[in-house]
Amino acid sequence: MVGKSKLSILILFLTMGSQCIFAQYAKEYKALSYSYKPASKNKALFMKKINAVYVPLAKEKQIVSAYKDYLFYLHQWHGELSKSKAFIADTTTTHYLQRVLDSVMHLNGIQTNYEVVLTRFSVANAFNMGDYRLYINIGLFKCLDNEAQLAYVICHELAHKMLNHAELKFIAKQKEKDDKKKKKEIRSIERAKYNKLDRAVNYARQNEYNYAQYSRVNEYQADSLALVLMMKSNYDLKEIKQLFENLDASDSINTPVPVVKFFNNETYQINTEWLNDSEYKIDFGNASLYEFDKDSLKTHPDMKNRYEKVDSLLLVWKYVEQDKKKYILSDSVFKHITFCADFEELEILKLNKRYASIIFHAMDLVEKYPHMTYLHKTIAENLKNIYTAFETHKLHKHIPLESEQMSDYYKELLRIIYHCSLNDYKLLCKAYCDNYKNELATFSDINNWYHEISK
Amino acid sequence: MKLANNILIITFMLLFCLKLDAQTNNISYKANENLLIPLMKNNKIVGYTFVYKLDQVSKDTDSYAISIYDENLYNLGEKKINIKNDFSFDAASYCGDEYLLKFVSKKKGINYIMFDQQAKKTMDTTILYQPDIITNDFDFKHFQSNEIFPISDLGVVENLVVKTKNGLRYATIFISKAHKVVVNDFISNSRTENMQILFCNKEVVLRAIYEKAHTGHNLFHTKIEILSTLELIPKGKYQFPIDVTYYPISADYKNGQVEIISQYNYRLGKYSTLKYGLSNTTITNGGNFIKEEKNELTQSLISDSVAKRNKLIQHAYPYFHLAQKLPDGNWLLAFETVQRTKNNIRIRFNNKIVYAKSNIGLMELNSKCEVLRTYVENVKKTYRVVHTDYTRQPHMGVLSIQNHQGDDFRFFMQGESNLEYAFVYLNYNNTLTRKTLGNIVYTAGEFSSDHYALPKPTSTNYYVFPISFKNCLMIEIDKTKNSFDINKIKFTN
Repeated sequence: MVGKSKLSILILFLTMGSQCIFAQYAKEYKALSYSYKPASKNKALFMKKINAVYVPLAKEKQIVSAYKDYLFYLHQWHGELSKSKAFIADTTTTHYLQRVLDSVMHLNGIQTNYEVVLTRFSVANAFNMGDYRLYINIGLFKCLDNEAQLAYVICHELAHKMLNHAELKFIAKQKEKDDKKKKKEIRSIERAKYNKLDRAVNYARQNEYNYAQYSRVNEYQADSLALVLMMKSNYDLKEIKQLFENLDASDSINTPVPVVKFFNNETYQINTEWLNDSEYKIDFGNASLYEFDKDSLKTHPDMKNRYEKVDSLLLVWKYVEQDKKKYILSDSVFKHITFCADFEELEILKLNKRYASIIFHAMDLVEKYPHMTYLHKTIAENLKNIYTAFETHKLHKHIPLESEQMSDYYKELLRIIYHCSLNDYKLLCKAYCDNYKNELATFSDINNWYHEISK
Repeated sequence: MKLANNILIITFMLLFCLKLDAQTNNISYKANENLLIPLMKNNKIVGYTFVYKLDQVSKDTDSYAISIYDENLYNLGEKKINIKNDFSFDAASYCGDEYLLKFVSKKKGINYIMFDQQAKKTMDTTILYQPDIITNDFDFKHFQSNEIFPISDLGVVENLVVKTKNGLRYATIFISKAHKVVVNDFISNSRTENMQILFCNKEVVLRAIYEKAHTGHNLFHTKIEILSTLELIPKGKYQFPIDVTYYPISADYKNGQVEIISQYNYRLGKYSTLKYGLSNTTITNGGNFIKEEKNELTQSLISDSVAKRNKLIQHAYPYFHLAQKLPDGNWLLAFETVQRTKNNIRIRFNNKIVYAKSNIGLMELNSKCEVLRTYVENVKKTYRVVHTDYTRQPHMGVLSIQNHQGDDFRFFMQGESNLEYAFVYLNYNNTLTRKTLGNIVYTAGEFSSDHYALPKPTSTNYYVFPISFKNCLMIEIDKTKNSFDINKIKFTN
């Protein structure tokens, strides 16, 4: 009986793996399935479940009941997001992530039930908020190279939960509310006749610094416990260095996207003057009204410092690299998720109707996946959406204002759109459709629209 | 966006509303009623400034925050300054490379503060306005024209009208880039109605002075004074013919000659019909008359097809708001016409006049004042409500026909080349009870237009600012959610 079940799991993984490999060479992208279940609103039932597993840390009854309320709030928050399709419910991916967590927990003898939730958020992040769920954003997969790195991220979030960081922070905040010294200080600020704002900002600044410092200490603790958890597994711990480097570089990615190339052809050339920045540049010192020390505000330590700490621990524990692996469960499923992460970002943007971002992101992916007609279809569809918005003066709802944080190539695209008149834009769209005639040939909607604008 | 973090902005947005007086090509903002003040250079917007009161620092001192944003509303820096609390913020401008802020006080006069690009204070000067003779009932309403005219890389020129115990005082002020302040007082008499700056460049400042005519009937004698920019020393004067009322719209200065484009009107008899037209007067910089080209529209447009079709002349009166000199020597004029109602208007009992229809458009004139082409943007199914206060008085400028909630504006904006101009306007449509934002683009003899009806305000307030050629900035404030959104409105033409 046991042998049969093992065989069926093996067959399941093999079929999943083959699907994943083929998915990368398909011309179309089929979006993953998303969650839709709302949370139950029965508080009594929830409390009954929680009471069975929850061991309170605080001695004060008020704080314990407040924390339970907070857990119920988290449960409802999860339900609301689930209803709005914020989580990925695809069985292949969720089972895989759960198995990574379960394997580490099994080796460490942890019995508690934890759930890994894959969110549709594009920010490279993972988090735990004190409940029994470990959230991983799909955007994080752009910074992950292999399964060992994924396992470390999951272990890090598990460590936060095991060390009760969220609960301890909650208790500290509750106690702070009743702190007489702080109450007195706030009252004196409220009653002050002059310099009220400066004093309030100084008070807030000190609180923020304290909170950030506390948070940074927690991160170091979670890093070391995650290492302890990982030591018993066969994952290669040297991969953690690369993970930190990837995360550090994720903020400053500025891959060149040749926006103009997509539109230029023999008959149509984009006016290069459109791409230029404003003629007159002004400045005003770049200072803010109330300066905060950026380093003191950071809730996470620098990646370099984090890795140095991890490295020193590995030295102390005499970590041996022998027989360690980058993949234990499945490399094909991992690669499938990283492949989907690229396209899921497009799906998220589609959900929010950020047309310019969709076009730019799809253009970026065209270099990586040149055979995907899906990308050209997405670009053409969104060029069409922009055209409709343009006609109805609703462009501002889908195209953002240019800002310093944007990549130079994205700014180029925005400048092109904002410099065009409706007629110019028609020509631009027509040029794109002409350039990718073969890729767009099978999409009747796009072809009809092309004939419409060609008139 | 850093801006989004500034919670104070929301409160300021709810408190203040936008007002623009487009009397000349400069966009004028009054700080008491505005949120963001555009900073302009060569007819193009380079950024915005936002000044707001932060806190009371001591018994007699307030702290103010100055924020400068670029054209895309990216925060370029903030600065905190302390000001004596009898002063309040009034206006801001950009001259060359520096930012000028103006604070006014009931008792102490006007305080000018300048900042450089690194947010360093480079000037702090107070001009006293003889506080001993200012009456008790003096308030800021008596500061009429708050326009600040920046002159590229030279400084700013400002016109001040202050009410004192002895009557109105008129003055022109020049603040140079080297932080030198020059004041030229105009000695007014009992008939002086207003003074406004018509044009200024690196060499001359032209100001128009209106004096009430003895005959009444809203007739004025108009005089042009030419001053040197750096010292504000009068170089010459020119008096327009006194039997006709001239309303100068704009002027241009080239090779020692001043060209003034103005609308004129006159009546042959007390009860005869009003005749009106456009004139192009050329004088020397010493004020000597050279030539005048006139075009009486009541005669020349009678057989004009565009004027006939849009009823610009029949039972209608045009208001020429703005003029823009084109590189080929022609003038581009923006106008609005209102069709007179057939009802008998009894101003004594009704303080509003309802006009059946209105048109807005552009007219191109050559140097001989001949109409070359006219474009009329027909604002269908709307009527105009004009307060009798807004009849054509010089102190209202050459326009101010209708001002719904104080947020109508019109201005010219230059495109990438100097052959392209966009006339942008925000109108209130009484029938639709909506504001309409529109623009008419002139490109080398061709016109194209587009307009956009702003959503009907219910719980949301909409404010529109110019941002760049063919683009406007719209701020949407949701009162119920207490949130706001900043967007670019793009015209299709």
